[in-house]
Amino acid sequence: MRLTVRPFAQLRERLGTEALELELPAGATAAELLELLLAEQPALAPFRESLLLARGTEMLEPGSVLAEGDTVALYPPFSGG
Amino acid sequence: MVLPHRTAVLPDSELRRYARHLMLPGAGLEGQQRLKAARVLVVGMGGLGCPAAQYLAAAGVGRLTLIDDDLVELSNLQRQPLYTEVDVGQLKVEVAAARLRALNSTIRVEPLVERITAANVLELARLHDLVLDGTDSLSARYLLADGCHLAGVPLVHAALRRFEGQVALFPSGGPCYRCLFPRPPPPEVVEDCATAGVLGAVPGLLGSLQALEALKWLLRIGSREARLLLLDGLAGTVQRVALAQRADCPLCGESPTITTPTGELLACRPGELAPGELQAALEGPAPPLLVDLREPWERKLVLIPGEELHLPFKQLAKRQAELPRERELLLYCRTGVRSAMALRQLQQGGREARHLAGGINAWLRETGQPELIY
Repeated sequence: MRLTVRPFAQLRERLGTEALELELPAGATAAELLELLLAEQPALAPFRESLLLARGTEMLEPGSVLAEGDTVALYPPFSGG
Repeated sequence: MVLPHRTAVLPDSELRRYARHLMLPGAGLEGQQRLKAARVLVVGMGGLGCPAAQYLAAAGVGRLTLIDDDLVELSNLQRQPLYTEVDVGQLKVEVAAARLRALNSTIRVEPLVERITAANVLELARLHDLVLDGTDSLSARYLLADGCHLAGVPLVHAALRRFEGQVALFPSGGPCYRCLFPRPPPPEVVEDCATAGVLGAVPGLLGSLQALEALKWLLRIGSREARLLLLDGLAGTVQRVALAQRADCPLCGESPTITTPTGELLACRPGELAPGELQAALEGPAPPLLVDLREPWERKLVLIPGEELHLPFKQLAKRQAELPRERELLLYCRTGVRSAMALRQLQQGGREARHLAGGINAWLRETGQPELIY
């Protein structure tokens, strides 16, 4: 199945794009998406344990099951105040 | 969960002042009384803390504690309009407290010239009903999130990066900040406002959103579920994300690995005595009089030996006259929070004193008696 990942804030700059297309086996979970993403995008490595994944208005947990055509937003923690 | 169950009576002048709240469905007189009885801690008086504290003060939150040890800088003024050009070089919390008292003389505003540390975060959180995170570093944000969760006090988080921002409500019990971002990225990839840049209206909007979430929580109107609001200031959108408690969360999950706050050690500031210097001070030619601000039950656990006076922090305002004028005073408590507040009170009354940084716990750690730490 095909999914779109939208990185935000400095992740967008690290990846140099506003959207990534990924191919995953049907029934893949958010944890599997993250593993694939980290394998394909070494620039994300420092954020391995610091990424929030969200689908629409819902936060994804590691075990959340993804579906064909999902758009997953990827957020880092912000530090500024 | 700590809820502001307490309420306070409102005189007629305050009924007039808060008339627009009293008409509001869900708020009303009872809600206003809840606000007056509430104690809120604002950590960081920068771009987020300024607007958040202004709206909380204006709304009549009865007790506000502001904590920050920074001075107002010229480069702050583009996003912190609570301060003006004449304030440059002054302590932020002092200037902010004066402005907020001028805005609303019916509330109490307590400025604390401190930083949040592993030693003080739990006690600071426990002294309040709600905490607002307006800090400017990830280490402070994780420390505060850990401390609030461990103390069982709800947290309203806000943070930004250039045109984007995050505001989150974390009720006590979870989901927590670490459900979103389990561990911080390494420091070398983290930016702050100084390196990333920020447009002033963005923190203004986020701090106002933070105040809105805080006021709804205190008034008990709207949802009490954990949520994240994502602001994209360039696109002009706010997206709401419902938060889930992660089973593998290191702080609030099924087998948590974080059970105490950790962070950098307390750095010493004016008016503070480092725990390592206490012995020399007490054995010197003019030893200070120890003033123990703790409750009687705490004194049963451990005391600092020396000439001392017991004056519980809660009675300080009434019994301040009992403090001898001819002696140097050294205030202490468990972690240095109450003593820092007491020091401020004494200084406002024209008294000089010092307080023990990190409290008796830091002294116990320093003197090799960790088993007595409580």
